[in-house]
Amino acid sequence: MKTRTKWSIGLGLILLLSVFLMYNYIYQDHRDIASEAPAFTLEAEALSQAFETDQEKATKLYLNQTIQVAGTLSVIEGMTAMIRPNLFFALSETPKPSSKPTSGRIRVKGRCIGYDSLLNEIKFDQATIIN
Amino acid sequence: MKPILILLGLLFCAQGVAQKYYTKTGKIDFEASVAAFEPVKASHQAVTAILDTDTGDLAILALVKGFRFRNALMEEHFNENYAESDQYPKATFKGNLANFSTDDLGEVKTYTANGTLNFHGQSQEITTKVKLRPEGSTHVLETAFSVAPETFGIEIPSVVSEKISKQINIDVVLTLIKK
Repeated sequence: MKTRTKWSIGLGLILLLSVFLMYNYIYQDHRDIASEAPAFTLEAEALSQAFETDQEKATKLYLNQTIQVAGTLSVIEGMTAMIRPNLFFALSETPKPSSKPTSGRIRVKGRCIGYDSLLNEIKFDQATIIN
Repeated sequence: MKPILILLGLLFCAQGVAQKYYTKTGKIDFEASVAAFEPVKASHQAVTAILDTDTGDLAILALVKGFRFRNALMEEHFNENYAESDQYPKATFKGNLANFSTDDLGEVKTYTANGTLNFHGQSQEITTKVKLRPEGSTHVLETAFSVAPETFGIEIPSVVSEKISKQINIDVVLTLIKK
């Protein structure tokens, strides 16, 4: 094979690889909160207390983190769930009526998006009910 | 004498409690797309809003991390480089619907809302038309307006400036329920 042909094949491959890497970088997948290991696992009361004591500090610590919370279910409605005293979860899907808990202690995993100072609630999105 | 006192007391109590409508799952979409380039748009499905129907006062809060883009990298850049959502986690609107009256709640009506929009730690006075219509037991509030990123101290680097519109269009839909 001619040296020039070898060079063009080599260059072509490098080009292809860089396009592939670039594409993967630009169109990378979203975080999958449901399968992510929680960065924090704690009681609803404790989380609530942390935000009540120092909202700014708690926001710095928990914002954008995947958190698994255990607490007393207040209400599940459509694609939202509330855990006492003031945790709000936007669920990633509507719970099936068969597997939908109605009361008692539940565990929910979600991404903390911050403190809602209008209703004094801690908000999560992409949440899933564990049990 | 006593029943009258109780009645008066009840009346005062009733006046003291403000009528409020609210939502925790309001929607805000924004778009800053330029034709022929990848769409720059995001959607928020967990916006909080409270409308005080005694005064027409309206408060809206969107936690910035809750804006979801189709493109994960765009979402990351939005949070880290533009909105700086770690530092400024909240976007808020505080304002009032002019000439609001509880009596008009049952019909479709358009109001002028004046208020302050706060984003990226910067405030800007805005005026926008707000449509309020009853839907079942709820009241749906809709508004749309545009803002420029530089108003909120956000600089768009020249490398990407032609891919991001100079005006960002914001759409708000809030389905309010009685508190």
